[in-house]
Amino acid sequence: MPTYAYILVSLALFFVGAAGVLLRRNVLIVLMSVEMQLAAGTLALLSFSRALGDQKGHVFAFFVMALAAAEAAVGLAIVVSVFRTRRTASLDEVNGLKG
Amino acid sequence: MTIAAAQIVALSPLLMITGVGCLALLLDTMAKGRAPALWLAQLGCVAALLAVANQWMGSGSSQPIWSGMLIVDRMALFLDGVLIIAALATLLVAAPFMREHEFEHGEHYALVLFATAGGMTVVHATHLLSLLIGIETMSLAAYLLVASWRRQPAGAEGALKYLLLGAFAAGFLVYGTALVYGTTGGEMSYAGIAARAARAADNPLFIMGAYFLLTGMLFKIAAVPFHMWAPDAYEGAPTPVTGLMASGIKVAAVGGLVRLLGSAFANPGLALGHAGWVRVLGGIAFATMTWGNLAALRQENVKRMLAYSSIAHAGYLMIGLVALGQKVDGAQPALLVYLAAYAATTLGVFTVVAWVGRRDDERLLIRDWAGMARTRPAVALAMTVLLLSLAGVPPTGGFFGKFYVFRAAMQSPDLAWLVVAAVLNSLVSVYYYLRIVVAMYFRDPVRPWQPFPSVGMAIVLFVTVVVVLALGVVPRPVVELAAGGLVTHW
Amino acid sequence: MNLAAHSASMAETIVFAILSAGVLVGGLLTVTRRNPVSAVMCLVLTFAALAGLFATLSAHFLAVLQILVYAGAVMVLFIFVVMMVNREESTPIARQGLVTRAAGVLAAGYVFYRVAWLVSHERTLPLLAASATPPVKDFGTVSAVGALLFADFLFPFEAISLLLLLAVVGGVMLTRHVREDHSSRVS
Repeated sequence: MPTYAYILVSLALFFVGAAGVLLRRNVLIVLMSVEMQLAAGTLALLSFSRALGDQKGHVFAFFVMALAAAEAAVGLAIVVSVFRTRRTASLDEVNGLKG
Repeated sequence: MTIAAAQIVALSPLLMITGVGCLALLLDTMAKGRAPALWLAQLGCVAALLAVANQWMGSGSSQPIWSGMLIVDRMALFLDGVLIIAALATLLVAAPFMREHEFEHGEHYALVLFATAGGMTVVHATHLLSLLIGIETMSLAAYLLVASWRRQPAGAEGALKYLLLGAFAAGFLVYGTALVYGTTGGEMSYAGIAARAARAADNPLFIMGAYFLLTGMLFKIAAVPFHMWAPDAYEGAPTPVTGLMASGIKVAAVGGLVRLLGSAFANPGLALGHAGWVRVLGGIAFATMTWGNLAALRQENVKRMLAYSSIAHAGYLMIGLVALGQKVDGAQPALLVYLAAYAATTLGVFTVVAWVGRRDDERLLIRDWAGMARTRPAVALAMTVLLLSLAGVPPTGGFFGKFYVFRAAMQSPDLAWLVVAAVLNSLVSVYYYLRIVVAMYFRDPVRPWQPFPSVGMAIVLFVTVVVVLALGVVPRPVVELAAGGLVTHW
Repeated sequence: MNLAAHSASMAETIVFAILSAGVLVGGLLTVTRRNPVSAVMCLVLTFAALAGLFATLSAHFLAVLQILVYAGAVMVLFIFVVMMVNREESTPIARQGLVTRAAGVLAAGYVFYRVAWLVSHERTLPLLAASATPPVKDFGTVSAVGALLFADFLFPFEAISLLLLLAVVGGVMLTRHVREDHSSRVS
């Protein structure tokens, strides 16, 4: 399949993830949407990598994967921390700080 | 690839900070109490500063090392110095603060060092991968530090917002890298991108990639409209951490932007076109400083007000970046001087904020600061000097920082409107900084004042005030240093 | 021979279509589920389909990593936390600042539309039209990626270990039990 098809898929996935981040209220779903965005970036990287015949894209994608895993771990730890005090997973209720 | 010893030595400050951070973690598990880990961390900072000085002596030519991932030039070493000093100051302030509020733990010190290591990677980066890893290391450590005061729910909430938006920005950084990689024919190093930018600038996908990268970086310096996380994160974090975020992390992010925009995206077709990043950044700079100032006017909470003021300062800093894009000669040294002055001032201000709160009486509202001048005149005077520096009133470092940046920007006629707007904004900002001064000097105390004694905080406060005044009274040596040794010849 | 090539590319197209549908449908389902557990399952589907797409791009090493790391470790972590924090939402869309966010989504949608149009329009560019695996030996295999990783990319390789350490330290620091005694032992 030509590269542009893969790029279109990765763009669509990226924007679906962005919509999820902006619109959803449940923190976990927002985190999952961010993971989707990172995965979309990885897909774009690998498509260009094949188009150019260049391995560097694969190496970068490898690092993105490690980064996404670390970010997910920290994000989930913070969610658990918030949940322990507020007993909610909703962004609307997490607003003790308005001012 | 054989690793030459010279390459490892060139990175000695970074390796020292990282190594000491790991050792501090280890020491915390083994030793009784927190003091050994803290002392190790502080000594490590001092040692790293010596390593920076050592590198400075020998940094004649500067070539990218580690296969084009990093570069060790004077700008990077200067910013390294600023970051390490910010870390040291944060450690000195954080320890008594945590002891007073009873949430001390050794990981905090290690996290401060790791955040600094990330920041140092960012300012040395000459490749999109090292930039990404540096930014993310710095950010992850910051998220954890913001959430570290477990008994304050505000901290975890602020950290959550920071993390969600920060991860969103990371998504943009990754996708932007993918687009730039594809459209430049496989280049991810700044030099490579710069070489191909002339041809690739015609390709809309390349431009989109560049803007995605810019968006990701702008999130990190809390520019409008990507600033939504900053007030909550700054307010919820323990005060020493807020100080680190406002000084060290912002300095590192701006440093990363300087290098990214100055080398990779410096191509005139990309920078100065109809919708080139110079114009776009100019608009964002205006929005940032205006919005930051207007929002700060309405704040009663000192930390939140300082958060908005920090956003406004990011706007002023961006003027320097825009001038850099216009290829103004003095822009880069001016920006570096401003960064140093801003970092010193911010660290001092947050030290005072950390100092005035006790275990059950945080004193975070402006009216809580009433009457400080009567019982603690030295601290009140120091705070006044620092606030005047933030406002840009002579003879302080903050004034000269702004002066040099605005002067550099004025050399390009396109930017005159921006400088005028910035000066107006600075005048407006004087009002909300002076509210605190007025409360300290001209109001009666609400409750008796008992800031807790702390040698570390006193040292930090004293040093930052001295630096701010020194930069204000004799700025010449620093400026000459910046202009002579620090200008990178892209 | 022409028939074989034709049916091979037909098969390729069909496989691509199925996998992309899996990715996009999975993605849309993930952001629209009310129940976080369902959302996690849909995300696993998305990542699995994505791994398939990686394989069609000759990125074999990364396809396996995607399954192991993403669809495996990260999603299991998500499931644990979802189970701990599981609260179904009454109204899935956030209320606060809805206008700004809706505007953001519309802007994003517009950007997507323009870029997608652009990509389709330019699809004859050599960059965007390439479809065969390049004749580089071992493209996408572990050895090829590893050779670069330990040569040119040594610094990021070492630096990312710091990032992972941060994640571990953070996970422990934020979730361990807070003791209420007044010694300055733990937070």
